[in-house]
Amino acid sequence: MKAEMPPRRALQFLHWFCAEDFVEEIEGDITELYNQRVVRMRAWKARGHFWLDVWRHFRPWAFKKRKTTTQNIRFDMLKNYMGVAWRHIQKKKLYAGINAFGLSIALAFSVLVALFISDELNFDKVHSKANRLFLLYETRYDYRQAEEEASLLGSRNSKFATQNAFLPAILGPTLKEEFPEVKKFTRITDAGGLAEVDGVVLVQEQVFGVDADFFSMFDVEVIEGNPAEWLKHPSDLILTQSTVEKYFPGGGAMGKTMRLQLGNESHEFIVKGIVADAPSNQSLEYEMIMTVERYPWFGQNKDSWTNFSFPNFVLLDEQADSYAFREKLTAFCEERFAKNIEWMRGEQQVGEEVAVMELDAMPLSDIHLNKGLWFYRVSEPKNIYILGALCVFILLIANINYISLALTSASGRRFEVGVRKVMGAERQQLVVQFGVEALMMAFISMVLALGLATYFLPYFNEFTEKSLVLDGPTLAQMFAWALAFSVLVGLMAGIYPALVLSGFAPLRMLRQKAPRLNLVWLKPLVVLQFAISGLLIVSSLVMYRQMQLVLQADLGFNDDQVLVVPLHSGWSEEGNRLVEQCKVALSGDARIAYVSGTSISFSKGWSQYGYKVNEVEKHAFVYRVDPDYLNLLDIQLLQGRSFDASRPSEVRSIIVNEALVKDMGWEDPLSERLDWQNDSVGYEVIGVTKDYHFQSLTKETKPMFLTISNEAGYMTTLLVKIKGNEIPQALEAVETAWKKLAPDKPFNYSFLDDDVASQYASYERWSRMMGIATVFAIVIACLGIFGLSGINALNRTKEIGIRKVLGANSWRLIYLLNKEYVLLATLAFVLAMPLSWWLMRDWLADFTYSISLGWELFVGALLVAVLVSTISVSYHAIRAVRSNPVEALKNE
Amino acid sequence: MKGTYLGEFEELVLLTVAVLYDEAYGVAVKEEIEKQTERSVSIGAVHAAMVRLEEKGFLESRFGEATAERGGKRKKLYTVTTAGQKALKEALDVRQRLWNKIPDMVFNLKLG
Repeated sequence: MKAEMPPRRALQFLHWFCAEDFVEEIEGDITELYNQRVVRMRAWKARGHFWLDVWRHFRPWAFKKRKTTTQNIRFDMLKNYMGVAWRHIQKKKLYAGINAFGLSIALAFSVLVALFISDELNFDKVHSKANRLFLLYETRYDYRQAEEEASLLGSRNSKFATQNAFLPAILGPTLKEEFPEVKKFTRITDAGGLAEVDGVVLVQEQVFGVDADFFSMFDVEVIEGNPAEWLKHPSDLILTQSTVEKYFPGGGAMGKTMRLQLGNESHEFIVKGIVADAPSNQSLEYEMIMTVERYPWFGQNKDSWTNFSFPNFVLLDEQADSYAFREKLTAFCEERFAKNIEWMRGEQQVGEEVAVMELDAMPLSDIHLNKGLWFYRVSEPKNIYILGALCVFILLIANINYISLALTSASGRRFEVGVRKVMGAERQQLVVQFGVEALMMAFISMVLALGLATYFLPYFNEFTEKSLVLDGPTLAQMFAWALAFSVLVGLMAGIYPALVLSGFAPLRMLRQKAPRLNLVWLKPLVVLQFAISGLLIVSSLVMYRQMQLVLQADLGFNDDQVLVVPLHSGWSEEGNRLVEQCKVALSGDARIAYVSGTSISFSKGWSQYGYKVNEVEKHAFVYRVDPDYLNLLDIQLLQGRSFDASRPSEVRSIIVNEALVKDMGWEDPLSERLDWQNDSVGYEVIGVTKDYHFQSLTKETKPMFLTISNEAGYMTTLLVKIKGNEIPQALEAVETAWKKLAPDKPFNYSFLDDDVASQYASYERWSRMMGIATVFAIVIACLGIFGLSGINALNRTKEIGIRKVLGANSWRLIYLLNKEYVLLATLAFVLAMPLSWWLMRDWLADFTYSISLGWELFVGALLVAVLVSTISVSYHAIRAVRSNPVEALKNE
Repeated sequence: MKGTYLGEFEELVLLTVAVLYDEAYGVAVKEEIEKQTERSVSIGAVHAAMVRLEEKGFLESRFGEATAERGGKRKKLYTVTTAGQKALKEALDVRQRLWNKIPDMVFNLKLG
């Protein structure tokens, strides 16, 4: 019988692992079995069985045995390597410290950034139905605004679009009725409510008004109660665990009653359920949940197609094609919003062919990073890129460093390597030795890094406004990543010196003549390091200067020592009354300069009215104020006078800003009337203020006017200007007056300058972040230059000796050693400059009032980089120059 | 006694080697065990057991003839050593003693 050939590769594998003693027996037996099988079954099956048989012998008993003696030697050598590495680290504490420190800072930073990014990317993923949950939103195109921008930017096709998730309440129910794929819907409104227990008003709470299906659409962890029964009755209230602890500390919250003030209404609720606190990484931050019907403005708007104030979520069927559904929304929008669309087309004077409004649905998971959408808790995807880039930069710098420092210290060990080679060490063994050393360093850095990351996590959370945690599983995961990374870095850093040093002939190494390490290829890396540092220096300088500009800018009003107290009176006469009462109560107090009120305080929102002047649509921001407003804020009047409370006609007068005068093209504003109510009578202009920044400096000052008429709204905020230094006492006086006048309302206040600064809080945070990253980068890069110049000085010991003997002066030598690095730094800077200019121009574009990117910024940054590199290089230069030339020259 | 302890499968292999007398090599042992116990046995397990038994001194081996169906490889033929015999006997004795100690009534009800 002609024997079939079993799979060749399987046999190769067998011969590879199997010990000589067994291989013939095993091969013979399994081949025999194969030949039996090949008759019975298909060839491929038999081959499969053959592979299986080989695999069943892939066991330790059959493996090739290493000679036990070699094994022991290997282990002993490993012990020796570690010992030598440890001795070496101790001998060169400085280098080892620099190495471990640089790498661990970079690793710690990366761990934090990795946490941040994974949190951002997993936002809203806690909901198991996230891929079927869609938020409806509209996109509106404003062609007039687009034209304005186009003329400003000089481009024609600019489209001005706004996305908004606040839509009519009727939308959700209608969609469920008309589209079979819509299984469930919920509206989600966020009504600030005041909670009352035992008649005492407590602080403001986030009260969510939702539909009953909310609990089956979103994953809400139920602690007590039956979610199927919830929100069946308008008085049902669901609390989160922390609100329960706040209001019912003794427990037994279920079934208790609780009064909530919502807008101008007050309702009795019964606690029907308790849920876990809303997880921090999702869009919906609820503290209490009630039915949407209790939302103060729900009743009058629930069937309206023109009131846009309710976010609507839908849950699609599992089989539904979300794209098809979204397509269908276009036609639906044309039909249902026909009136709105027609009106908008008329307003903007555009024809049927252009879209002014589009309806679409966005998957839950896309909401968070969609900064353009008007919804809760959307965030800036740019942050992810900035942080990620910073992280990559710092890691790169630290790595380059690590490699160059490993080389520096390795070059001093040629005797050791020489002796090892003479004693018979193979090249492979030397590579292993250096690898082990590098890994040891990397491991130490990693442990340090995780410690640092844990320590700095709270600060990082503050920075990023997140609540990241480094718990067991995450820590283990990070540990694994950091370990993998350290091994990689360690090998990268360790192998090159190992290869270079082990490649030299031992005799050459043992002779005093030091072979030079050729480090040409390190130079581009140094340039890269410098370029990155340069980029960061420029960026942080620009950010710092811009923040200074913003925070110290003349806003056109004085925000010092102004107390801001929310009136908690809703949109009603009560607010006006409270301001008046406070004014009377505090009028005798010498510590109080002025008391006034406003419909909208700085940084707390805005209200804008549109009106037609000669058939042209105009807009202006409107503030309902009090006659003392201008005095209190020290706003300068250019013309006319302030409000005079004693004149009854004053309710029909306004004070405008310069921008409005310009917008209207008035020559003599005091003789004009502004018909902002479109009642053809208009309001008399009694004064013109100098432009002041009633909005953030990121925005241009727009037309605005002040009025004391209720037509523009009611007081929502009390403003108190404190005189002198007795701020705590003044504060107490205001609080006492408040407690007397409004015992049922909480007294929570802020200072106006803080409010104004809070508009720039995120910019400031990022500028600080950038500053810290820059310092890291510079420090790590300097350490690298320090090490590298060390190699350089070492390599040129003899040259310097000869030069000295021949009478070169010290400055000349220092210049010689520094020249190269200054050149490298300058080159790097030239490379980094265009990129940083481009990036910073983009960043500054957010601000209407920004610093100019002048040459002095770049020159300043260049000087910093050159100075820093000179300092790091000079240490070695001075040492080399001061050493006795005899030392350098005697061994020849 | 550790080291010379006889596992259940090892005992089976040892017995089979004895049964096959002069023709005991891997495939034959595997097939014989499969025939007798009606359970499928992997050749890997047989080899592992025989290697262990040889290490313990219960088996000794020599090379036999090479055949074409074995791809020209020689058979490794095993025979039971005296130590192996003793171990088998001991195992049998232990069993026998235990059987003898079982009170009659225990199995009578079921088997009878």
